[in-house]
Amino acid sequence: MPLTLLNWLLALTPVLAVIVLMLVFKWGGSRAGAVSWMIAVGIAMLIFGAGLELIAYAQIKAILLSLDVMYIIWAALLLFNIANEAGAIKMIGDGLPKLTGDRVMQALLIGWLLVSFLQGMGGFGVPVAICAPILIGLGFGPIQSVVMAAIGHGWAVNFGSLATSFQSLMAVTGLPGELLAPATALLLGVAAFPCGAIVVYLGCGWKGLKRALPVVMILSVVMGSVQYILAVNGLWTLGATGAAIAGLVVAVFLMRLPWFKSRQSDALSNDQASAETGKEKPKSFLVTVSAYIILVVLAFMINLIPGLKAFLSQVKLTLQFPALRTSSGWSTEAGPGRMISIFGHPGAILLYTSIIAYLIYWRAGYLSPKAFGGILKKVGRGAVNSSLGIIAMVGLASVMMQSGMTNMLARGLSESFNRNAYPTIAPFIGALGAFITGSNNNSNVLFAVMQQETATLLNLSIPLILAAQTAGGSLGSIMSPAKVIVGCSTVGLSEKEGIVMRRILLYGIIPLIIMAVLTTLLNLVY
Amino acid sequence: MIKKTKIQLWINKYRTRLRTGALILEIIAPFGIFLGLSSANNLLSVLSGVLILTGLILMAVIG
Repeated sequence: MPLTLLNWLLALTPVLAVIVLMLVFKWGGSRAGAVSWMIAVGIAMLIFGAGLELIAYAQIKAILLSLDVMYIIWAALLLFNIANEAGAIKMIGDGLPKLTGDRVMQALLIGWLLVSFLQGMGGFGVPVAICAPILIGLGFGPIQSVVMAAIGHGWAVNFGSLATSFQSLMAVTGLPGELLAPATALLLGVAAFPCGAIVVYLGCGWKGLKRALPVVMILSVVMGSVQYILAVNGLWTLGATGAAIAGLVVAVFLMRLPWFKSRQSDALSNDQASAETGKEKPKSFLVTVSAYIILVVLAFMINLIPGLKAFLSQVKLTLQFPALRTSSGWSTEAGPGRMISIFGHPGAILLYTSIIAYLIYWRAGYLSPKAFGGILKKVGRGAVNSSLGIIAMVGLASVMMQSGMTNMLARGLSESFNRNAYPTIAPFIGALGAFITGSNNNSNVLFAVMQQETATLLNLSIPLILAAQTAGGSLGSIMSPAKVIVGCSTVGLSEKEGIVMRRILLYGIIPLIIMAVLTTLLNLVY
Repeated sequence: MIKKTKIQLWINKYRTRLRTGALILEIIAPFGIFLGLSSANNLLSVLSGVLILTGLILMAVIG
């Protein structure tokens, strides 16, 4: 298929359809994805010469990829809702602000560290929905609170949600995590600093930022390093969680320093508030947060004990695909589809944790006998929507890949930008995908292969360009309309999403620009 | 117009169930296609393809 402007624009049409339907017509991801999938199928068959059999196999490959990601989403939502029902999230949210009365530290604790920790565990817009009301309770404005919480977790999205987005990156590119993790962890580790600095600036102005700069620097180095160490050692599922826990521990230590200890007056109001609501039977902190302790222990055990990992990885789901070819000459080799390890998958680890945590909470009396039904309902409500969105977007991306449309886009980009300029725009492509689809994960599904092919054509480092793609997606997802809507839902800003989004765009672009500069510099080294 | 409103009301009432139905179709039907293509069973392939398309149309209509 020759590379002409018309062919390139036709290949771009399904992506443009997603953009227009979501941003202009304000459609949801699943609806826009479904319509764009139909457009992609039409163009693939009429212009790119894809046959019905190729389209059918593309959809089967797409469902294997979708199941790989949906396994984590469903199990993560189950664990989150069990912990939430048992009061774990409320206990963490109530307890952290009491540690300090200093507004700078409160802003950092909730708007940067707690929101990142929750992103590590759950994600899907929930961290902002939880942390924004806590920030409002501490005296920050509603819009300010949503923007702080949104920007604060931008660096943690990729390795958050048990690394769902990173898992997708591996799935669609077919590259091992060990190859992709170093550059990705490096870029996102650096991004932690501007995210934290912006949170302090939004909450406490220039004066607060000036005072907090050393703390933000120390915490960024700690979190960036912990995330890097976990990710490069195969523990990417715990990358954001481990980093945020390390950040919280160090922050608690820093709060003991005289510099912050002298500003404790504001903390009193929180103690009074908790005294008023303290008529219920007190819960043990250790038991309440046991779900997350179990998760960390299980994830470490399964990933670090080779015998256990091998034992759990025995049952795998995959399908064997034949070689496929379009009438215009684009071919895909025969081979297996995405392999899903039923019992050793990150989703399975979440499932084991959920079962153990449920039994512990139930034995401790933290969950009512009728809680199970309510939890399942909440999981179903949250997971069905996101799963439909994923299936539609993955289906669209799969059709584009199998019919050679993604390759056409990549060839166009590689001829438009030279190898020195492309690393600068790579994070913005990832961010655009996440902005459109509301998810770092979907952005990787939509654009990762295109970025991979462009990097190959331009002779650039594939791990670096893919790291820029997913890091850009991580930072871009916080600005997406879908996430902003979820964030605004718990603080009474349902009519003001536009204002919130404008402010998030204004500040969210800063870490993204830093990312682009860093990728350009790293390109000289890689 | 009245008919359209009635349909919209019906969709609104059963939106969650329709979404769940679409999700089940989208997950199960591709395996039907695979089985159909592997065993040269055209009927199964076509039927599964129709189910996938139905699921996608449902997704596009109900949002």
